[in-house]
Amino acid sequence: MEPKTLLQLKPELLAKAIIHRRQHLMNQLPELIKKAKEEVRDAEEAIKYHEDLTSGKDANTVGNKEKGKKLREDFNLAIGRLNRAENIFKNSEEIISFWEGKLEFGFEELLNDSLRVENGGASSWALRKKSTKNDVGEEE
Amino acid sequence: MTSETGKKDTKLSDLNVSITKISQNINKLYDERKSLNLMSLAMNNDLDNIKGLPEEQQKILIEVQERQKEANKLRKMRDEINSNIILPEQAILENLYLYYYRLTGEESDLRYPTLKKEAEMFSRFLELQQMFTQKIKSTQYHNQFQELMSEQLSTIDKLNEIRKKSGNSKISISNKIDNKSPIGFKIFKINKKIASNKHKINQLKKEKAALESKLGIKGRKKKKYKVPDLSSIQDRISEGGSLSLDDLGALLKHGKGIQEIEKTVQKSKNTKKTVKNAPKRRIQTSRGRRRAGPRDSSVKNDR
Repeated sequence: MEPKTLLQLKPELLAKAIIHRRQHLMNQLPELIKKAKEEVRDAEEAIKYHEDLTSGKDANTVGNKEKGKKLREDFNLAIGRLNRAENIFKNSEEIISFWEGKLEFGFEELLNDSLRVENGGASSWALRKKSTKNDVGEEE
Repeated sequence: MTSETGKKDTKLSDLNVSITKISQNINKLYDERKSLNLMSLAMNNDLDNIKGLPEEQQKILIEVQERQKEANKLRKMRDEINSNIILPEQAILENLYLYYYRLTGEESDLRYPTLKKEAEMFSRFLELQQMFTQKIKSTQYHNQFQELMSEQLSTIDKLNEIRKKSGNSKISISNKIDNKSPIGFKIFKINKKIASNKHKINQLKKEKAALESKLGIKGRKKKKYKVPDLSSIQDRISEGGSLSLDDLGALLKHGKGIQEIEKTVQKSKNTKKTVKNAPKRRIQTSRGRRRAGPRDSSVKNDR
């Protein structure tokens, strides 16, 4: 995308692009959740199999410990992915309705910073920098 | 481990912003000093006795003073924008791209922002757009200021020429500072500020270099593109050896197909033969005394 297009992008268009992404994601999510659940099940089974296989004396060998650790990491990753997918699915409708509301009734508070800069005020970056400086000054 | 690298990365970007800000500040101080010099020239040296000067010179000095006022106004406006918008234009554009893709692009591993984060990024995106517009204004003010300053200098040259013709001493923007005069004292203070800012910037640059080396980022040296050894690839083809993907990429990039390379391989074989047939140069040790004078026989005959 050209910088010029990006600089002239209206808030309405940006909001529409956000809604589009969310809707596209919602269509994909049932399949993604199904896949994520399968991954979790596979990871769980792999851990169980590994534990059964190494129960007894071999459990404490370095190789087995590392293998177990790796399997648990895979399991955590899969669980994380599943949680994220479910959360997105849960929140997507709320998010879409939020942006649709903004499109209908205006962006109000979301334009505050932009308006401040337009009227010659400080940007959020400058304000943050000033506040951190002040904090350091107070600490000293 | 990754959070530590992340912290270092943010520290590095903070350092970059600070360095840009300080260097902007130094430039601002340079400009201020330059205009103060001109002001002192217009105010102290000449305008005190303006009534005693010829009309032409009076006009020029008033022109200098007026222009200086305008330049100072522009400089003030530029500096105000720069202190409000600390990010340079390039960083603003980079952030715009970043926010746009975080808001509308596809994320890996389903790491999509929350509604709160999304609204915050949306607001930042619109702010960045305005920041860029303001920054363009600041650049315009800066260019106008620079133009006025160069006009000032050429006007002073003009004034000097007039004074030279009438036998008066030349006006120059001296580096000597009269600390007693208010403008001289200001210049003295500005010089001090410039020195301390330069010291700060050097320290920050050192810090940045140390951080970059910790992060494994090599300095500003551009990575040199390693030209692949085409001859070795040629040899491999002629020997019937296998080609890797990198080799194939190199061949495609350098515009040589396999057939062409095969031709060149054959050509190079032929050239080897011709080299073989070329007359050999005799290098022998000669007996007796070393011949004096030029070895060229034609010169010898002339003798």
